[in-house]
Amino acid sequence: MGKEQHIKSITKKIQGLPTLPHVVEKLTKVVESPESTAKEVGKLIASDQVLGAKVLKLVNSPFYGFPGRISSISHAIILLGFNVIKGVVLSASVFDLMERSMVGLWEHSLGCAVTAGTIARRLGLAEPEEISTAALLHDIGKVLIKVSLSDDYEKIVRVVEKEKVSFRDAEVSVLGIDHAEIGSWLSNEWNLPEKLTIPIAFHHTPENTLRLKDRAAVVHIADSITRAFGIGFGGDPWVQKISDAAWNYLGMEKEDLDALMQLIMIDLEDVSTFRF
Amino acid sequence: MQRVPLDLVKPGMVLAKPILNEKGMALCGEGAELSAAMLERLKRMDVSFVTVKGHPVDLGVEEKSKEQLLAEMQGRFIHVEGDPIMELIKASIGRAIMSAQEEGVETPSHG
Repeated sequence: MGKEQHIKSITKKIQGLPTLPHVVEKLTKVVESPESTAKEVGKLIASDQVLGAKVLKLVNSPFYGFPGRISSISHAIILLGFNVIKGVVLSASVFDLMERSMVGLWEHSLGCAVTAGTIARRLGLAEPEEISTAALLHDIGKVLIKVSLSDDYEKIVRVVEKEKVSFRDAEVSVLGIDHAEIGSWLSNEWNLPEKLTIPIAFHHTPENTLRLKDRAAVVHIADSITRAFGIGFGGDPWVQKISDAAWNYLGMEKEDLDALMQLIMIDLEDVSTFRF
Repeated sequence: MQRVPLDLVKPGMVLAKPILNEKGMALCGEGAELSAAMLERLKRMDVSFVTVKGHPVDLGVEEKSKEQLLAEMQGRFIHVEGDPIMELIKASIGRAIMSAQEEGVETPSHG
């Protein structure tokens, strides 16, 4: 059976997607229309008060570099762009799901977002906020496994405990595919932009994407470094190998690693006390 | 600097980072000395943690020595031992942990 078919056979087992707030579905349509204004989109998000408050809290968190300066959602859209806002709305929507799925996954995701943003800024990459947002959503496939394939999820957890392998290796041995592939499928179902979909799909194999390789590589490296600092929990406690190709592609060998790690450590301090 | 649960903050401690509210607005700026009245107000605003200068509170079991933090960090690298890039990262994070901890201890509490 080919990989594509295998993914299809797994996703067929998925009974209904995690439900997203009504606003998120509407948002997809509004954002796609070239005539939408920041004000309209802001109004739509703010119509769900809980979601609106979470979005404001996230965009004002130290992760996006505008702490305390964004007073309205339409202001956030102008500063951060539609892609970031869509990712943030999704993150805020799946936050509860994430917290319930795997204790520590939300914190791991936030840590990864912070680290990815710091690396992207340091390397001078374009749109670091979008890279952070992709990192925030990178493990969304794990949420789907927990929510929609819960028997398999239990098996995976047992394999991790018994064989001391990574969560991802256990996924492959139980399901035949990993959370990146499942996350990629889900983000297509959710009509996420490519700038988010590709880093989600390739965060373990950044060398395999031809497009947006730098973004996939940053999320990949940030994932490993967040684990190294012990922030949150992504299913197992171990640091995974960083792809040599990704490291070299970004020119990381030229970076002052000590300075970068110090910077990341300071930024990560904010993660442990960030509360919705 | 030290991150302290609000319950353990005493008047006179100095903020090392601003306190942000739900919307991310600064309630209180970096460098501000916290008074009893301010602490009372922050409690009512559901602020749970603040970051103060120095290392004024002994948090007991939650505090880990830098050696402990270092050993735990190194332990997470067991699956990638010997990989040149991963060894570089491990060594670099190790230096970050060691240097940050020293600063925390050396800064006087009202620095």
